[in-house]
Amino acid sequence: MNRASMNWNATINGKERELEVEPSRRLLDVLRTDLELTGTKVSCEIGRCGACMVLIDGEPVNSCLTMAYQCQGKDITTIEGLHGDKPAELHPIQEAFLEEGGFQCGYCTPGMIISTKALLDRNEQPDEHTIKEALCGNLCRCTGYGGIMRAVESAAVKCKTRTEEPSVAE
Amino acid sequence: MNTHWSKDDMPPIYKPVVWEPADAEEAVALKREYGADAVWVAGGTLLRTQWEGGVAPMPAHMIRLDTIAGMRSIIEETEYVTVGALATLKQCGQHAALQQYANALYMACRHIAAPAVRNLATLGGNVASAVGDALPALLVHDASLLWVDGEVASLHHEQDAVDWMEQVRMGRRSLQAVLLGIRFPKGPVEAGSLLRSSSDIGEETTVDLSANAVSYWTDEKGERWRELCFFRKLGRREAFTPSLVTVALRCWISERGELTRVRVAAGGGSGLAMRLLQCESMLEGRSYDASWLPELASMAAQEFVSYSDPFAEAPYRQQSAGNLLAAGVWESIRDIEEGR
Ligand SMILES: Cc1cc2nc3c(=O)[nH]c(=O)nc-3n(C[C@H](O)[C@H](O)[C@H](O)COP(=O)(O)OP(=O)(O)OC[C@H]3O[C@@H](n4cnc5c(N)ncnc54)[C@H](O)[C@@H]3O)c2cc1C
Ligand code: FES
Ligand code: FES
Repeated sequence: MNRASMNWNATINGKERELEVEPSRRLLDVLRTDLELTGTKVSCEIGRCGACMVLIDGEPVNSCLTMAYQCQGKDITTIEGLHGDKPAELHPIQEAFLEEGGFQCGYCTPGMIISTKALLDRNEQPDEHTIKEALCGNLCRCTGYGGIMRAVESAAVKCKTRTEEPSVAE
Repeated sequence: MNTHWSKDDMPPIYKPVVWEPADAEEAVALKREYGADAVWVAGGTLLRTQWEGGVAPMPAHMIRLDTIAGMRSIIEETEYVTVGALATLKQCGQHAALQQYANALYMACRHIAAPAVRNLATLGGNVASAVGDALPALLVHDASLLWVDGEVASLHHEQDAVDWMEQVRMGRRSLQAVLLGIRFPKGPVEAGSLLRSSSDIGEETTVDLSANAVSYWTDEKGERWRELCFFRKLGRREAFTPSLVTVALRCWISERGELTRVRVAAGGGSGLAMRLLQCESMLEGRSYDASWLPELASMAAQEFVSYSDPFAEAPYRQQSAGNLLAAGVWESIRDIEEGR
């Protein structure tokens, strides 16, 4: 069987989306051009900088390396899909990046935050080595990484505290 | 005349037809039909860098390999571990059987690219590229490659990784061959056969599992041999870096410090990985003594065939390979002495 175009569908930030696309179209282009989700950034386009990072079924993946057919039917989270308890609130990781000076120009930040989310979802208290390993595919040309390391450490504490706090309804 | 193409009206070559073969035979038949206009795609990570970097044009036909059933699994049998070519580097770098029985490969997979790339990239793609960092590890684990090859009458065949690398070096690799999987013997190997079934060792040979993923075997005289195995990668920065040099070593060390079944390999960058046979024979049967490490380093530097590019000269790569090997042996022995 072969395809020159496909009826592509995926769940993006919790919403079902359907598009007619070329199967080899990059997820990056589907997101930024077709769906106008420009929070996902584009820079190197060869998997080296991490600016285009998204979560596919909870795993971090470079959307510039991923073709549409490779994420058909998957659950995709972009930076636009992250928020706090209410949709208008910041996610604790976003708060931490703001508070700790985890960015300067901000171009790498969506990718950094997505990689941090992937890390903290499977490791509540990562040590320094684990943080460096998880973020080694994300490059920042401004901060020198000090603020980013602090932001991730602070985000870990915030995320853990929020999961431990009983919610208002309880 | 200046022609500007927008993404949507690019010529057809930029909109490849994507094929979804149901099995490897169909994938081979498609490649035969479309020849140089078609490429097999596994994770597509290396291909993307080639397309974007202008090293290769985007093909008119992409042949998916991920539609072929069963190519993603890692199967542990009594004497072998078989890794499907479509197993991702992440899968390989987390698999207990590889950690135990193919530790150099396990470590290599954990040091290729970054975690997000490893979610897509496959071991088969790394091997089939012929320049992947996993290759020196394959060589020290006596790996064999399982192919469906349109140039071989029986189609299916198993080939020693060393032989395949030699074919690549001679420019004689088959362009019609889909890699199905990579197979490793669990225990030590002698003259192409597993020691387990070899007559000079007999029934007593065992490969013990231990909590810290170290393998042992006991010879016919009751002497216990411990596996010593490592992989080292040198790049231009600490993490997430293309390699300048990669080395791997595997051998078995007795309680008296004697080394046997030594395998040494080096590769890295866009160079072809190779076994360092002179280093292997220098170490075979020797008892460990830190005083011979400089000799190992300089022999490896002489034997390793490397290349120069704008980032590093061949002598630098050769000397680094020697130093990485000597340091790796020293560190591994130190770890054993310290009970790690
Ligand atoms: C940012 C980045 C960093 C990288 N860092 C490293 C690194 O540190 N070390 C390293 O070794 N590599 C690195 N790579 C290269 C690449 O990611 C790996 O080699 C990867 O394992 C290739 O696997 P793949 O499945 O993506 O291969 P693909 O890109 O799909 O294929 C690679 C080649 O192999 C062929 N092929 C694939 N599978 C098969 C098969 N089963 N049978 C026959 N032919 C096949 C394809 O036709 C193609 O020619 C990096 C890539 C990127 C983008
Ligand atoms: S744009 Fe995707 S990793 Fe740089
Ligand atoms: S904040 Fe500018 S690149 Fe990271």
